[in-house]
Amino acid sequence: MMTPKMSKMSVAVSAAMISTAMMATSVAASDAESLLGSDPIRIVMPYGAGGSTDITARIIAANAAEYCGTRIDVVSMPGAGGMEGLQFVADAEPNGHTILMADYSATITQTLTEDTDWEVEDWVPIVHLTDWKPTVYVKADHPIQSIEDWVEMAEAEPNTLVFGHADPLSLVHLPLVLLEMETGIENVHLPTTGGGETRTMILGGHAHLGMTLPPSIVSNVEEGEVTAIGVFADERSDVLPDVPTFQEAGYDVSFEAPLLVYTYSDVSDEIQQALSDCIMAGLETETAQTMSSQASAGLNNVQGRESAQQIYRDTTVRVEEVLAAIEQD
Amino acid sequence: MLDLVIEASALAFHPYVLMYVMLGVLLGITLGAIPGLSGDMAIALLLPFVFFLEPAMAMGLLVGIYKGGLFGGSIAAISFGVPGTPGAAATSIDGYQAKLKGKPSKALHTALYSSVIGDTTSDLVLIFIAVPLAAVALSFGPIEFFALYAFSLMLIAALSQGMVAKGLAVAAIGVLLAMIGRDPITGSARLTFGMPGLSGGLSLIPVLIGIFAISEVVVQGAKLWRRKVDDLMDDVAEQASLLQGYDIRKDQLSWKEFKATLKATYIGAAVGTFIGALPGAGQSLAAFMSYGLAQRFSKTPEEFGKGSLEGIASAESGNSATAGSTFIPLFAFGIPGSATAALFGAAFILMGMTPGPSLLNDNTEIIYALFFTLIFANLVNLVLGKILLPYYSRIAMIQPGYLIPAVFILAIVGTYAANNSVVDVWVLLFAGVLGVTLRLLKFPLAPLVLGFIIGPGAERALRQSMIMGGGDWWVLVKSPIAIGFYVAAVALILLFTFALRAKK
Repeated sequence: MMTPKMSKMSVAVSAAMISTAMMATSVAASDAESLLGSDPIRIVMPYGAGGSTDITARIIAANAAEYCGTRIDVVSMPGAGGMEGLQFVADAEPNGHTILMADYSATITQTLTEDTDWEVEDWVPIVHLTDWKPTVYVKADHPIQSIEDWVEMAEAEPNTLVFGHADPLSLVHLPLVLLEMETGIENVHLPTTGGGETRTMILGGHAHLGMTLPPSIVSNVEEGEVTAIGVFADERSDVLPDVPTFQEAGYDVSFEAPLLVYTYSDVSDEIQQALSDCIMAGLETETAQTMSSQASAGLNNVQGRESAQQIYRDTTVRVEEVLAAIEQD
Repeated sequence: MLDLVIEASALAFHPYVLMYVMLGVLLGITLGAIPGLSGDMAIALLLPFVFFLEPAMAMGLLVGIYKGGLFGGSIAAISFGVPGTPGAAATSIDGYQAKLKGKPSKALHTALYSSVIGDTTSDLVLIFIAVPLAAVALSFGPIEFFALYAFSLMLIAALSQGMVAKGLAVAAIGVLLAMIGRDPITGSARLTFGMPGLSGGLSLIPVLIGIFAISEVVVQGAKLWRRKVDDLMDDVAEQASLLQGYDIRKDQLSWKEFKATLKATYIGAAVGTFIGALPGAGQSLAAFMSYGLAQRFSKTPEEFGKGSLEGIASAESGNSATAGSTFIPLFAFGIPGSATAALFGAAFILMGMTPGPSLLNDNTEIIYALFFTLIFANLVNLVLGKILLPYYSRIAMIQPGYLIPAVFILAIVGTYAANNSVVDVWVLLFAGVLGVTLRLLKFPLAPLVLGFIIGPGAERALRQSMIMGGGDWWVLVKSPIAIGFYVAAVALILLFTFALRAKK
């Protein structure tokens, strides 16, 4: 039950929070402040509001502002398949006040497959937030209930199982392509508008298998509506600890998707470092960690520039390999 | 059960929660009334702060914003012909015509009442029959969706009486415009003519505002100018006297008028609730479909498009009736069926509640409290609307000399604000030119917008069906629900053709 005392406090807290959002915070002097100045920082997110990336961006905005010395705004720019958001960051003044937050589809895959003004190397990751683990799932009463069942059935009747995934070549589609190369199985690839539509298709029996990220199906798995059969990662997912990886099942396919914060390459090294430091400091706070665990955002092992850039290079190589293989087909 | 209801109502009717609801509704109405800004934006901005609020208060605030925004969109639609939100596009067809006839107060009140009735219906459906309706919603796969889209397109293309061919033609233009951008299946760019700005397609808001509002502003401006040039001052004086002599006391919605709109409101409430429960279908489709059906079943269908209060009531009730039912897939399966539902899903997550089948069991109290809040927010909407509408009615009657530039600027700024996109502003101006051209050629505009709204969904559903069926067209009639829609479409068209002939 809600006590009057607590509610009063939360009213006060909320009022304070809303007003902080409205004006620049003047707390915590740091290196970041002198380097970055008092203009607001914009985190551009090339997706619509309300998704996993959006929640993570807003956790950063709410917690890192104090350490970066200025207000942080989250700007959602889903236009032109996300390309407009990237263009906006690329065109911005190189003062570190306009940064990008995205998975590899926008910065690597689309840059490689489309005619863009930038190269993959123009995006410099400064914070490695988390790794998403693409997960394959089916309806609970479907005959397929494991990776083995799937491969067996797909081998027996090629091109009959309908597999729902979001956009083609997205992070919930490339692992499927890799697995098909590894095993030789063939499925009917059904692009959807995203995780929500994929789930409708699975639950409604319109598609046989689907791929998504673990936090979005935890509730359905716990209620016994769907079964998660395998994870394309080196280790199992924290939120779905009972679901095996494809490696455990004997298929050497793993394709985790790092969620990164980037600056454009023309931003100076000092500013990159200052941004990286203040965002990480903000995410280490208790409030940020509580928000993260409530949202299953996985921000408990945030890494700095070195790790971010290493994983970005590795991911680029992998995406290039898959794209080359697709082209050969 | 009784304990639960008492505890939940204690949560929901806590003074602070009530205050947050009122604050939310006020904010929502205001933002919804400004084209381009919407309740969704405010909800997105406030997301991180729900973490610091008691869940009941956070819900109150967000629900208030959402509901206020749904109704607020109709204010600009009626007053200036600029749909404040995509859902209000259908409202602007008759709403703006009613205003031009000097009846802004009647139009706005009709919109308010039908909005509240539609919304309440939808909430009650969410509260009492969410589970069975959710099961029906799940049975809508690509095949069923395509049938639904085909049905609505057929229904609406024939909206403008005596202009079926023109209606179908502009609907096709709408579908064609919607095809610009990314191919929904392969993801490659098409019809972009090498312009990177077009690779994501045309956004809904600039097309909507351009077609309806910019073209209207241009036509109005041209009229004003021509009158001046022709020195037809008596005509101008007549128009000016209509505005200056505006007496709100003569522009009251009577009980009889209200009762006459109720059938349209109920149609909207039923259609909106159903469409709202389907993931991905959206408010605009609900509003247009209600409008189309209400016209078909109206005693005075010829009034539609000329300021019919029934037209306003059906569109607005259809739009608002998606409010409760859009949560059905979210609560039942964790599927966000609309942008708003996605934002509420994110808010639930930040409050430590996972949307999906376990949501109600794990958080029974707070969800019941949310149910109370949903209903209460409708009352607040009604009361605040009643208080504010006289002022909005007067604003609607500002002299065109001031109004036209203001609407023009509002449209441009609002369009930019919606997606932070300059490309969208160009799209707005282009759509404005297209709108003026079509008006001059006497084409109806509503089918174009509908074609644009449902084009992408219809194409995606069709192509997904074909993939699932391995390229066999018969797959489209393999579902009983789909067959039902096709039969209903044919039956409706036959019925009305005969009814029309019988009248003649």
